[in-house]
Amino acid sequence: MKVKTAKNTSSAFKKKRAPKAAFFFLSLVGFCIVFADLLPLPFSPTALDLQHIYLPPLQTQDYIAGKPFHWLGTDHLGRDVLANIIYGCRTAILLSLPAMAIASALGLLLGGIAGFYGNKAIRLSITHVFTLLLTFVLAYYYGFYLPEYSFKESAVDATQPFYLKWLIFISILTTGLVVSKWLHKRILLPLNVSIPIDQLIMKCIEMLSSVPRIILILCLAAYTRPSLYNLILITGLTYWTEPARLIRAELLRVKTLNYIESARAMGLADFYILIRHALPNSLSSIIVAITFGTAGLISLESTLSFLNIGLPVDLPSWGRMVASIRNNFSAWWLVLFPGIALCSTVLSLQAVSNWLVYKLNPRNR
Amino acid sequence: MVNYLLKQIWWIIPTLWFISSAVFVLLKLIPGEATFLQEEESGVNSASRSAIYRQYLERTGQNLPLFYVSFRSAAEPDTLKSILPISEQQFLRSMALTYGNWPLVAEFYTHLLKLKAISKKQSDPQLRSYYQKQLTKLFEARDATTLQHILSAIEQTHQRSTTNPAILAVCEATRQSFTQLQQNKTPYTKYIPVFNWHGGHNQYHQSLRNVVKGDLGISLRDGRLVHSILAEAIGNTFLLSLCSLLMIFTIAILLNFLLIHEDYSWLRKPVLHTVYVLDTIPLFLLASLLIILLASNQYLSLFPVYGLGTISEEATWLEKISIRLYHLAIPGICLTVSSIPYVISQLNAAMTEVKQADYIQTARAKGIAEWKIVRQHIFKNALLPLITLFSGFIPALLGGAVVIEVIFAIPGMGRLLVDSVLARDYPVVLGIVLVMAFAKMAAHSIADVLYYLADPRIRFS
Repeated sequence: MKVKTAKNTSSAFKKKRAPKAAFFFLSLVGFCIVFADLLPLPFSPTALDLQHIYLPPLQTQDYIAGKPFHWLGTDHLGRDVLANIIYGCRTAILLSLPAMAIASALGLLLGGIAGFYGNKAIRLSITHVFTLLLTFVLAYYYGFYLPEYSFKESAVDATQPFYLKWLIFISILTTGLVVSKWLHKRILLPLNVSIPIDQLIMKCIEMLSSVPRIILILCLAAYTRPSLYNLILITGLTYWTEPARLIRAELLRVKTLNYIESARAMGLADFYILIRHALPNSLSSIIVAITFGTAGLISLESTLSFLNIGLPVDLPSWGRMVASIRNNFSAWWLVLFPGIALCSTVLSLQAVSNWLVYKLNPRNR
Repeated sequence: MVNYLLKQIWWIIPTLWFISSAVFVLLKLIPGEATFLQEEESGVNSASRSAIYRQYLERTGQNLPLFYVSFRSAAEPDTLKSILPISEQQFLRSMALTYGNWPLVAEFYTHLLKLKAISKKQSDPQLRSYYQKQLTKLFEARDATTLQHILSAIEQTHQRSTTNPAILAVCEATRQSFTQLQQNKTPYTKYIPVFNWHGGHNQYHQSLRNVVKGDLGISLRDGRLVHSILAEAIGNTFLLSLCSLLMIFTIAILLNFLLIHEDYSWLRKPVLHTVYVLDTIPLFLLASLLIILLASNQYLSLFPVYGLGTISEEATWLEKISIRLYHLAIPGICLTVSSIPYVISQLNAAMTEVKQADYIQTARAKGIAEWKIVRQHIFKNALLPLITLFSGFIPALLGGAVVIEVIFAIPGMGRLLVDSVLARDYPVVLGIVLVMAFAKMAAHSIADVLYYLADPRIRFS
């Protein structure tokens, strides 16, 4: 996490100018997201106006003539820059917030497990693993493989309830679980192996980050159809590493504190301690990670739509607006206005996050 | 030292395995091949296309099983996988799983194939397309009633249009073989799963072996070796990244000397605030702004924007390099400006921390010149975080190079990656990802060597 300039900007935070401006701008963005359809915009973001391509901003001839008018100019297909900036807020947030939610949920889970359980706490019996693996294959075979290729006598009885597959699948798995418990107790060696879960998760993070993130996302986007939903999943599944690393580090710190020890001594369950005591005390760094991550995702969204990868072409976006600069280098308005919107959003999010760092630190209260 | 390096090299193996396995799984998950086959079936000459497709599968090793272990039902034969097209294969699989009696299913299938051959020989194009449509529907049918309907529809049309007894006999035989199949079914064989062990003869094993052997295969787009494509692209990316890396670290270090020096403390606030704002500007935006400012003919038309220029064969190496650098100027500046804020602020934080140390106070008290303190006492002790920064920074730089190359049309790894991604050229994508992962690991190894050189504690322990 790049929480670096907090020290230098803290004077501005004491005067509360920067966070106020940031909150104001973010609420403006929020307003655009919610009420974009109700605003009296003269053009829709996808409407083409091929008679006015590369129109510079504030060309007031049309306004004087009383016709609809492009306040901030148009791009290479005559799409209105203002409408695209306002609707672009929506795309940016629609991608970054759900993706960050997935990423932080995953990061919380994996980082929490890695940090809290460490390398020795989780022990698994070999009998369990083998039996469950076998029953999983069998459950898939009877639950999904056979029904998938069944051939019926008539078209009428073709309506099989969809939950039947899952019913078979789950019942076989449950049977397997019971059998493995029994086997573990009675017959086979009760052989337990501790799983180095911390090491496994950390190595996984290391491998994921050995490929530059934009490259990883580009590659993953190649395997799916361009859509917002797919991209949310892809980014969510690649951005979890940083929250996870942060939470793990926090938990390693929190774990040694006295009150966790007392909770243990009281006989509380590990998972309960993790959820109720350990995680809330690492909350401040999690919140910061989330705001910084969201800012990063907003930049990523514009970069991807600038490159025209992973997002549908008809989705209004700040990056898409900037992309038309490549055919006409003198169209400065295509870079300036979406650029200001993008940078202000990112900057505001970072300012808010720095303000949170400042506020959540008990020494500053 | 040697231990350090060995540990790093040892980690290449699982990383390589992880990346190639992930790419393999993704590659098999996408439904690209199925659509390819559906297109093929609607074509006129589907038999020869089927043969071509089978050859393609054999050439690329895709006729092999996917993994070391596979399981199937005892009702289906293990040769079912070799039946193409996929729709017929799946039709036969569901028939086999339901009726269990494979010899009879196979007999029924040979009759169907005969019907198919007859329908192809039809001279009337309208009738031919009718039969073909009916047969396609038949292979998609998943219940006996629909199947019988289609069979009788085909038979009736044949009866109306022809008097050839051979054709009618085939229809009759098909119908009878289906009734026989229905009467002699053994439906319980399907509940017995059979596990197969394929040994090394599976696609996963082969692809891993190829990666280990360094054989990345051929590009799906133009049939060239992935090696040679990568070899062409890697130089430009390397040049761009190296130039930017040198610029970034030179500027960041020199600027931080100034920022730390007490005489220039007034610089700190404006520089750090500029850096903070600069850090929020995404690379593509910065590149677009610089294009407008430095390359547009309305403003300063200083540099070329696209490509790497043409270099004649007779040019001396100095000319060659100067043309390259001239074309790489704006891309290099973009990459530098976008990455430098991070390095400056991190290095500044490290050096400020060192500055608080007691020995700096002592040095001051001894009357050592401020410049000497900054260079020799503060900077030297901030070297370790700088090295960490350097190794962690390589992936970000390469990622930035990707975006830059796309914007400025530089034929490097990044543009190759985007082109391959859009064309779904998977071998090339895998190759690029592996090269990038290697670059990161190389950076880590270099960092380890640098730690060794910079830190006497490591050297003498």
